[in-house]
Amino acid sequence: MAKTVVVVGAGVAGIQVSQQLADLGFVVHLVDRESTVGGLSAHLGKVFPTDDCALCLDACEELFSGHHRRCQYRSLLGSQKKLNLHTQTQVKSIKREGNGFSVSVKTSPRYILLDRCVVCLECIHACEVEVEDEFNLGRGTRKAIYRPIPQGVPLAPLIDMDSCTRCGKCVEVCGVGAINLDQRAKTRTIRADAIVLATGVEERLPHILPGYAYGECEDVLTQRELARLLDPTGSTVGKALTASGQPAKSVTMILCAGSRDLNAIEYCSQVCCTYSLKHALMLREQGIDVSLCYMDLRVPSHSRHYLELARESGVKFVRGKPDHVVVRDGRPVTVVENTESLERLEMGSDIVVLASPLIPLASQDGSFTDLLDADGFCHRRSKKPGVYACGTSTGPTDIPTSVAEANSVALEIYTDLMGVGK
Amino acid sequence: MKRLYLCTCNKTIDQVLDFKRITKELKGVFDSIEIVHDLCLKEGLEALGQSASREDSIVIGACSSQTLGIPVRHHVKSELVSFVPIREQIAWVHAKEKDSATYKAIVLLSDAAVRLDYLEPTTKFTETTVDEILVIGGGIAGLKAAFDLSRLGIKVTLLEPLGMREDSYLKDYRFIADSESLHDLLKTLQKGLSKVQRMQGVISELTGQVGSYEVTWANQDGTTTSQECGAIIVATGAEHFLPQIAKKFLHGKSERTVSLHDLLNSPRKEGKKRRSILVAVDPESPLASVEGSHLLRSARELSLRGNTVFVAHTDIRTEDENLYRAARDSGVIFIRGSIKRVKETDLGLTCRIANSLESLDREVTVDTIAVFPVIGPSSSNEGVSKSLGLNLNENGFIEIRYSKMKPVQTSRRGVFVAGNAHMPMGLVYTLSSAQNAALEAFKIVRSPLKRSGWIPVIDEETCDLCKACLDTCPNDALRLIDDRIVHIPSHCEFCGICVSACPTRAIEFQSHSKESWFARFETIAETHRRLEGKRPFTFVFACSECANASIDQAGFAGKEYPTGSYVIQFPCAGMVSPIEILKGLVVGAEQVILAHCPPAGCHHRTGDHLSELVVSFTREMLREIGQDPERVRATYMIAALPNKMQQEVGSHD
Repeated sequence: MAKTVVVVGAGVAGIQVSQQLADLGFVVHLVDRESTVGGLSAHLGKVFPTDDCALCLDACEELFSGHHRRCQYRSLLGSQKKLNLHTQTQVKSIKREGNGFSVSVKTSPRYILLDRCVVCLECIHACEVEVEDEFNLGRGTRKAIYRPIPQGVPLAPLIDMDSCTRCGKCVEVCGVGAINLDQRAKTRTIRADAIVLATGVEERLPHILPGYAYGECEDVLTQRELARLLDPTGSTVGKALTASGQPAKSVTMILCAGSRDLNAIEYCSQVCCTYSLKHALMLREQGIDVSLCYMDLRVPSHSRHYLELARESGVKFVRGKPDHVVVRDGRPVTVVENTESLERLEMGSDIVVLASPLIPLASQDGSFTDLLDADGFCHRRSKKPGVYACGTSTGPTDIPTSVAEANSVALEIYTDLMGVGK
Repeated sequence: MKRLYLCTCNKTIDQVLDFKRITKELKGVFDSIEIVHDLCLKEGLEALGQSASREDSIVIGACSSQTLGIPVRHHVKSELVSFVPIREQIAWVHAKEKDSATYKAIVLLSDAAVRLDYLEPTTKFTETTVDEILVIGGGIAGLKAAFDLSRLGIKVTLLEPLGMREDSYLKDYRFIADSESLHDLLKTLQKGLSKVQRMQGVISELTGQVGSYEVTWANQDGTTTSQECGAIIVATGAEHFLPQIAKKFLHGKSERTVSLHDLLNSPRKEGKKRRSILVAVDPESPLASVEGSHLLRSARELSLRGNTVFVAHTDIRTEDENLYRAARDSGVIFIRGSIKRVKETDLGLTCRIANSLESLDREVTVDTIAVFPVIGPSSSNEGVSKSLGLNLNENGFIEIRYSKMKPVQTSRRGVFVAGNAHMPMGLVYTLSSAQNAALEAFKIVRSPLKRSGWIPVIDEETCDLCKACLDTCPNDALRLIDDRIVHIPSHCEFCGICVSACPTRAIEFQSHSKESWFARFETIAETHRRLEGKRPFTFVFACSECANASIDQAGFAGKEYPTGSYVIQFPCAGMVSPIEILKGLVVGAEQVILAHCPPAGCHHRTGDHLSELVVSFTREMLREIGQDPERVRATYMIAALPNKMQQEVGSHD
């Protein structure tokens, strides 16, 4: 019988390791708590080092001989024989059982049956409930039945039951009987020979740094939120607008806003310098003035061109860690000492963007506590046999490193479970 | 029989498109037209599979082939299937122009019917592989890759540089980790190499193809050895050099200026008095994080030996933040700035350090300057890359195919690069990289390579043997053997770039011949004129990778655009030659737009660049003959920018 691996987290690393394991002959159960795959990459639009889609994945051999890269939406992740995708699913417990594990997972109801939905979108047109679109910073609306992102996989919509009025209009228009408003959560137990934690990271919302006015001023954003704003599928069609809908003319970026900080997060989040520069370039393309306050500029060798282009395009670099951001007449004003000129600057701008620390998601879940280090990250090869980790769950890092790590973990698992003599 | 299946997608598409009209117009073109409602569901696919026989050729007008193509392929016995995305590329984006949308569907479905006349089954091939892997090493990644493969029972030959000694690993790679970790790792790896054939030599030649390469190398005694292997891993490592700026620090002029590694390697003398040392970094060369970490570890080590250590630095990037603190706690003094001048006096070396971030210079006098080395490519990279046909980047390191998702794949199929041979990296990433390369190599040799696809066919009579196709193929899938151009199927990625490269059009791609394009464009123009009259139209030649994904996504994202353009899929935009573009204009298109993958992101590596060259060349030709060059242009499209189609052909807003 084929060996089974449970991969927790369907971001870039989770998907990569799953495809490799499926190619190597394992049965894979890929679980993710969100309704669509992609993890942090699904929020980002364009990514470094290649400035192209965040949604790009390596393709699996089973379906795509020739192994081209494919977007998440055309990767047929849900249709591969050996790769079972479970979205809206969380790990409840992991118990050791013999040489393997018994993994209990709970799937929250989507209310749409994935094997019936043809994605005709009639249900979305028929729904009359409109709520704030939280994925796009609450600017713009979505329906109670919705698809969070256009390229999201699975392609089928889901229902936000908290907003749903159960009027039944969607059920009426669905000619294939794909909607079940009474769908219940499902718990199942998967017997696994190995587990991979690819739970990733998220941006820490900067309330811990009250001095930066996040939450107080609507025009103080995190870099991830800026990425949403600059995404053409976002609520502003990619234009940098203030919360009141005005085109921004100036943006101040604050790097290390909470990272490398003894009062907040001690470690370096590794990738924020580069993606901040990437966003700075996108803002410059819209003719917006950008000032960037930094302590260090840490850019990996494959992305040095971002720094060079940023300098050439007129981004203003200010070396100094801003003391605080005040709000005057509704505008955020950044107070910083330019350690170059020893001047105290008060820089008013339309938007302030904070590069917030990336914190591990695994630590938010009780099931993994004994597998994590002090910062909440996992080890690639955990002390517990049969448990592995890859991607940003082992520490903040960029996509090329996550992909390499996922590939290497796939071979590690293969060697441990199917190596010579086994 | 030519069959057409139209799906209403839960009775929604037929609210925009007039299916009755479509059926009426296409009656003469298809032998059978069936309207179904849920083609993608299990029952729809099964019904399709039962209704279409192996001899039929089929057009499916439904949702995008990007998501429907493979499920259909699994259920339908015939290989001759053509898809028209009437949902994403017509119904979802032209809802405001129902009549024109219906006409567009008729045009594209007629085109698909013509396409069926030229469709061929894919060519299938199986290549056996040699169950052996060659690792060209010299460093840690090579040992690790050999170790990982050996553990799986694969035969491995580890070829290392001539004269390489055991202690090279510790000495030359001290920068990738602290010495204890490195030591422990080496012990573990060496234990696992008992079955690995270890040799020393210099690579001279590579022949053969992926799965069955033959590598030749020169041995110490001048003889050569040739060996077969299925895949190759290049792990030639990196070297450290003293930067040019060492001269400014008086290296070579004063005995007090030494290289950091000489200092670290020199034996500790008992009772040696405390020295003051300035670790000098080249401010012009940006340190990779592995170098930054090495700087911090070394500074700390020197400090723990009882010296007073200063580090003059600009930005230090490190893999582990704690290394800073550890260095500081051990007494290292960090001075931000670059060394402007060094003077030797009786007291020692006086160094002026200027800080671009402050307006004051500092002077510090030390006993010793330890120049920090920079990491550069291994000196064997030039030779190895030439022998194996790999590319080097501008810094002399070995290039990978695609920096985001292909961390070990080189331009040559079956040849992988691991570790510092590609870029400076620390121990953890080196190990991942090596294991990643081992995985890819393993996947090649573990079973015969089975591939299928449409391949180029060369007409020997028309071929001039100019070798343009060889030079242009991004995958080394065409070779000149015995005065003939021969196709190597196991290297082919079915992009068709060779077609546009050939100046005599001696190469035709299966199912995509020049004849087929001409017949299809003529049909499209004729049908369009019949239904839309004198209304102008545009051709969009879109690659079936990023460009088509973007055009589909326009539908998903609701980015509507006006009718009047017909999207023609090409396997790669690099396949489009001036012939297709001009024919498009000649049959009456007002414009021809070429849409390709983004720069640095072409799924076939060079297609985007080539298509831009073809368009530029065609525009020049048009200009020369007095035609408006703006009738032809090229652009990139990606799924993350679903508004691209609107940008190109307009939007309703």
